Amino acid sequence: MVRKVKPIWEALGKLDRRWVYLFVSLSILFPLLFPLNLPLTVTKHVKAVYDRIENLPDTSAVLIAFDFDPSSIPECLPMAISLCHHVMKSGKVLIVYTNFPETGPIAERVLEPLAAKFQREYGKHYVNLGFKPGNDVLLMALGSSWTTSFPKDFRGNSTQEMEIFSRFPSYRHLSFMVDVAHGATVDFYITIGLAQFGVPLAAGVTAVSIPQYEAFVQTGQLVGLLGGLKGAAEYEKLVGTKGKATRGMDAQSVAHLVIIFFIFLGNVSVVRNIILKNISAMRIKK
Amino acid sequence: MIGTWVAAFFTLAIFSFLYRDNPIYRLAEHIFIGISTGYYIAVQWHSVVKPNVVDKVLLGDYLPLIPGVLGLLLLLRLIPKYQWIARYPIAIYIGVGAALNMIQYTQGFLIAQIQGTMLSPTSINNLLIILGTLTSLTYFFFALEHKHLSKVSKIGIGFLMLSFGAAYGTTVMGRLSLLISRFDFLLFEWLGGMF
Repeated sequence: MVRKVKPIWEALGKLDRRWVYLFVSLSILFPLLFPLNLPLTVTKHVKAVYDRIENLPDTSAVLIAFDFDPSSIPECLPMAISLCHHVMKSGKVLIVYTNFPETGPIAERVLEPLAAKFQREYGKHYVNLGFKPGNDVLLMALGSSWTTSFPKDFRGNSTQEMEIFSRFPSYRHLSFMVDVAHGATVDFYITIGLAQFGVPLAAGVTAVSIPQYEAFVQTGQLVGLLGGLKGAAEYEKLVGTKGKATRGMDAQSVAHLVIIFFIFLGNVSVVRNIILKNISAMRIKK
Repeated sequence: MIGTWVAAFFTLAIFSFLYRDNPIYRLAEHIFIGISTGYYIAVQWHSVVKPNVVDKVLLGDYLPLIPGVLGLLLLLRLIPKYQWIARYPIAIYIGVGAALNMIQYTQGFLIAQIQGTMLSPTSINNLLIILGTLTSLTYFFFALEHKHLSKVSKIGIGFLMLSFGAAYGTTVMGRLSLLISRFDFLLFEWLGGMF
């Protein structure tokens, strides 16, 4: 019995989606195993964040808010690591806190090795305040004092006795802040931190949020923007490290090409079907 | 070591859904939901309720009892006979939230974003921003029938479609990043740790 073979365009229109999953998986797997070292260009929004931190006086304090939870670690954690690396390496004071209860320990795991590497002293050069509920209301309170809202840091130490808070007693004393966020926390840093307290702000956001926050870069409300894994990889390049974000960029590029290819095939198949349908309708009319 | 194996098993169990629904996927899904719920209850208790209400009340500061009780009243929504009481804490929450946000959002979002579109039409980028904003806003103008504004609002739809396309593209990028991270884990932490 001769098996009837479907025309290729008809077969493509009914392609089992599991083939797409397979090809996308392979397009990620191979570049991870055999890196292609594709070129990575640093965009101006990322460079602006780097330059702002780099050009701050050594006596400045920078806040990095770890506003993400484990579901956004792949995109946000590489950004947070690179930013903390940069602040500590350049000798500025680093304050870290989070609006997510489960992220305090993640921040601690980032800060400890970096502090050891750059010989930064806890409570003098950097601090991890951990989590406090309140979001925008908390931020308003931080405009008056760090130590009232955070009487103890993540490690349980009293913040009253820390040198860092005698030099920088409130949010208003910061020179710069970056919100590494997977959600809408950037909004209240814009509306309160920037608009009310006048602290310059940048954001590191998941790729999904890039279009939403690009508008704030255009208006000058955000100094710069790190977007998704690519933003993290760009910052890794600027600080001279090769972390997980850089490792994932080849896979990201190849997977994007595969997805574009499938979108193209799908559209060609749909357009072809529409044309054939119209032609047959015209023939029937005749 | 055990943690890595457990994580690898659950990653593969969730991936198995891509082939078809199966009992291993459902087992992983149910365990995930159960553990997350338990974990978040514990985290919320230790990070929010205990330090901000219980510990303070035990030290003689009774002011946190007010938000504590209001929070408990929200749970009355679960009892049909008393669910009306839950409207009071919700009303306070909405009232305070609206008052705070009204000023903040007007100052930080509305005025700043309007200022951002008041540009000199001397470059293509500026022209596109002005045109995109005006035509998109026209699409959302409902006081007049759209037949009077149809051509302008159609251009607005074009700009909206472009923004949806950008949002779709970055969403794909974000989801792929999550997948890359899982593959990275399986290859370098799980399999890499074995060999």
